[in-house]
Amino acid sequence: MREKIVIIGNGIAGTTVARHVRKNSDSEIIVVGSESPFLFARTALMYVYMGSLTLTDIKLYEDWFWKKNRIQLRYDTASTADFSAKTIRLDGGESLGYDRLVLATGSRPNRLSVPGEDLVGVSAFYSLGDLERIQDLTRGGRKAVVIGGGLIGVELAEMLVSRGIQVTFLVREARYLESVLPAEESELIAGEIRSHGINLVFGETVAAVTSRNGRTVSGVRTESGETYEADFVGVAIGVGPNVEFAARNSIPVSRGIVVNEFFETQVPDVYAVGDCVEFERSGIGHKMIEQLWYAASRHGIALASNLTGVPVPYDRHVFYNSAKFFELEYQTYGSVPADSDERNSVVWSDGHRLIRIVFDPAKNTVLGFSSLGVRMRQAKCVEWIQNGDGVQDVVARIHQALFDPEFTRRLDRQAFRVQQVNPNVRASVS
Amino acid sequence: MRTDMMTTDRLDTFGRVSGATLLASFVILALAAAGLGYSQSGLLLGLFVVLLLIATAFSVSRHLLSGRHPDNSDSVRSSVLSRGIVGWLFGVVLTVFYVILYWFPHLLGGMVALFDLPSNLLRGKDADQWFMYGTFYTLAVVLMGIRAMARYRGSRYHVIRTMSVMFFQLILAFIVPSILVLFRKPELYFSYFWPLDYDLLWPSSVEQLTQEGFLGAFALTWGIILTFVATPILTYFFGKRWYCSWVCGCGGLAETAGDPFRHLSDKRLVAWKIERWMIHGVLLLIVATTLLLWLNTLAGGAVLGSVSSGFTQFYGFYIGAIFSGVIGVGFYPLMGARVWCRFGCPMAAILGIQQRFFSRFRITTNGGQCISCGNCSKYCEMGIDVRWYAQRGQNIVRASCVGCGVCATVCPRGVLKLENGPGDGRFGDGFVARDSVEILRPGD
Ligand SMILES: Cc1cc2nc3c(=O)[nH]c(=O)nc-3n(C[C@H](O)[C@H](O)[C@H](O)COP(=O)(O)OP(=O)(O)OC[C@H]3O[C@@H](n4cnc5c(N)ncnc54)[C@H](O)[C@@H]3O)c2cc1C
Ligand code: SF4
Ligand code: SF4
Repeated sequence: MREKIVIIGNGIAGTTVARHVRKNSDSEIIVVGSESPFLFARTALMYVYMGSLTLTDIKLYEDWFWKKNRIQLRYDTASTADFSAKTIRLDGGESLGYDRLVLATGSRPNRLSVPGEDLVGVSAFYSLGDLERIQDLTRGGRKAVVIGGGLIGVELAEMLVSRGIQVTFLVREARYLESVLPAEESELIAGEIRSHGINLVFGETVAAVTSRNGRTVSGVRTESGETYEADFVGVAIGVGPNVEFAARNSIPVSRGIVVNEFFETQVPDVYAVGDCVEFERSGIGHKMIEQLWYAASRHGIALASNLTGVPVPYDRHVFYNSAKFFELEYQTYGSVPADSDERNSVVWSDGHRLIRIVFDPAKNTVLGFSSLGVRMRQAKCVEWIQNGDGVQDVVARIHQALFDPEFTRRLDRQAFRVQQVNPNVRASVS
Repeated sequence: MRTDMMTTDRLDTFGRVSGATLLASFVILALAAAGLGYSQSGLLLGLFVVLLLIATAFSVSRHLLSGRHPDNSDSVRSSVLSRGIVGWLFGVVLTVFYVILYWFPHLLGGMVALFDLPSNLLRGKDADQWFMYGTFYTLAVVLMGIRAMARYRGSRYHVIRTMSVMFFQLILAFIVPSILVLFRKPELYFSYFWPLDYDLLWPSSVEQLTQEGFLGAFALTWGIILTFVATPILTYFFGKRWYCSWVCGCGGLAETAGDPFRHLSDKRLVAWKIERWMIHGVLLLIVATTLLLWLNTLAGGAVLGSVSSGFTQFYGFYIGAIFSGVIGVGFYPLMGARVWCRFGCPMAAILGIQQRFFSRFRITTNGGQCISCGNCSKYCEMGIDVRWYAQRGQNIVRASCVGCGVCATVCPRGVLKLENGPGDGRFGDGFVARDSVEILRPGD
């Protein structure tokens, strides 16, 4: 009999498992998703709001794809599981038997936990439902407050400002993405955000969401006593693993659903991937929770391999990520600690663009890159990091890693400020 | 940079004013056609040009006021850009215009007379419908080219490429042929060659050109060299883009006047299947026609006799006129600007085959950085599902890609780069493990 694999969650993680299981085997595959009938790019929700893409455009595959690949879809919510009988039950009443069960239930937006956060006019931004709600709430809006200085917050700010809404962007930290980005990067990004007319305020923690009529939002009050008027309040203070299904069915969870490096939960034949997981050991050399589109798809590929007979422990290789802050593109490869400075990195910047190369001060080998307004070639950056190439060499060959379009003006070396104090490096750049 | 005041609503207003002014310029043309063109040609021509300039100014401003990254926020909401009622009407108007132009030119009446003045200046004789059409075409490429440069000013690739198509249309496809006419020489277009200029290498044209003295011989040699020598070499090094989005007039119009409609191309797999049948069918037809004509000529008319003229007429009517003109441009607001380039152009077919198999050109995907947002696929005028490749880390090597570069420009994560790299590793080994699902996608 063919093995039956049931996947809960039709986001990028769950769907990637399904696609790659299909690649390697003939198993019966059922994917249950409660948010939408088809996989869509969560990363592109902002473009739907801004009007450059439609919901159809953000589907990853055409509708024939699923049938052709024999991936059965259920637009429903999985609620309960019986692990001894190996079945799950859907809200719609259907009960599905499985040989292996995969949880890919994604994330949930964190709550503010302050008074007033359930007023009409307050919304997080994660799901399709959130998008629709925000579209309704901001129609004809004038003033908005966005809370939280992460990647989703800045997308929300860009969306709102495109509709002519005056946006105040409240960030608790002293600078933008303080725990992730070096100071210079934060500064460039803050400048970019402000240049688009956003009132960006650091060091403000929201104490309450206020209302005049007790029903709809009128603004927020911060711990410092400041008040900001708003007819819409966007909450973007991060996301956390959605463990609802797992917890309800007594699958061990910590912050996320606990898995080992083979994505096995502590219940036999039950696995988890994507945003919802937390690795039980940090021995695999990275954070315990990875809330990234890229990670979700890599998890999916790795688990599919495990499920179809080639068990390989998950290995994230060289970290990478990217984002876009209004018009400023950001890319990063390898390790770029938030406290990077002249002791461990060289920085090139012309005031609009920036490249940082991080190295090991003891050995002079390259550890990571980050760039703003400059596109970098992932394959090259990764190659240099993996080879442990010397920072001087890398600086001299940096043009090999530039990925900007043809005819882009070459980075003007003279205009770049080399902060580096290491004499070797200075010599090779000037 | 988009200032805080430039909301999408305001940008839309600029777009609407521009559209309304364009409409007004069409009204002027209609008035001219109705008869006023004979009596008031100077006034109407002046009004027409001024209205076009105003329309351009508003459209350019719209883009200058929005971000350096192209602002596409109107492509879904605007009726004319999203196959709404206005879009359909515009498509009908364009199509009707082409039908009249080709088959009922007498209906154009005084519209042609409007262009007597420039025609006399340039060519020393009164305008005919083709001069008028050439003027429209060139105005569209130049004015909308300025708009395209504003829209894509964040990328020098676009700016330079747009200047290139403007140059080739204005100089080689408009001024030079006009001046040749002025000096009573044959009207030659040096930026078109066989098989796009389908009858250039037909026996009748060859015979005619050889009788035209030096200029004719030059044109013939130039045409032959470009078709058989320059094309393969340039395509090997740069891909088909050197022609399709840098030189060609059809491509030039698509990249300028057609740019607002680029997202209307059909991205579905089924469209790709139809495309491959059609475009290669047309290629076969023109090669067969050309060969048969030569065979016939060499055999002194013994092979085909009167059938050969049937062949030429068939190709001229269905492909030359209906496909490249009526459908190719008339359907801009319905199917995007590259309908002809994608489904019908035999030149694109040859360049495409070469680009797919013998070229250094590819669009490199930057490792695993794709977030599957779909902007690249949406704004690919050739209907290539760029995301399909990018999201699995594969390079894009597709016969139909004209190398316009828009996918790379609209990508919010810097994932795509047009490159003329070395031959090996051209397809990319797939940063995100390759998967067998791709076999569902027929090989290009
Ligand atoms: C606005 C926004 C922008 C982002 N941009 C980026 C970016 O640029 N780069 C990046 O790396 N990451 C980005 N992310 C993060 C990225 O989208 C996530 O990391 C990724 O979607 C996680 O995939 P997943 O499949 O694990 O979970 P999800 O995408 O959350 O999918 C899980 C799905 O499971 C469904 N589900 C949950 N429980 C059940 C149940 N019991 N029954 C049935 N279905 C269930 C949910 O409804 C959901 O549809 C962004 C996120 C957001 C919200
Ligand atoms: S794939 Fe990119 S470069 Fe090629 S035609 Fe499409 S948008 Fe243009
Ligand atoms: S536009 Fe860029 S990120 Fe979006 S799907 Fe295309 S390649 Fe991927």
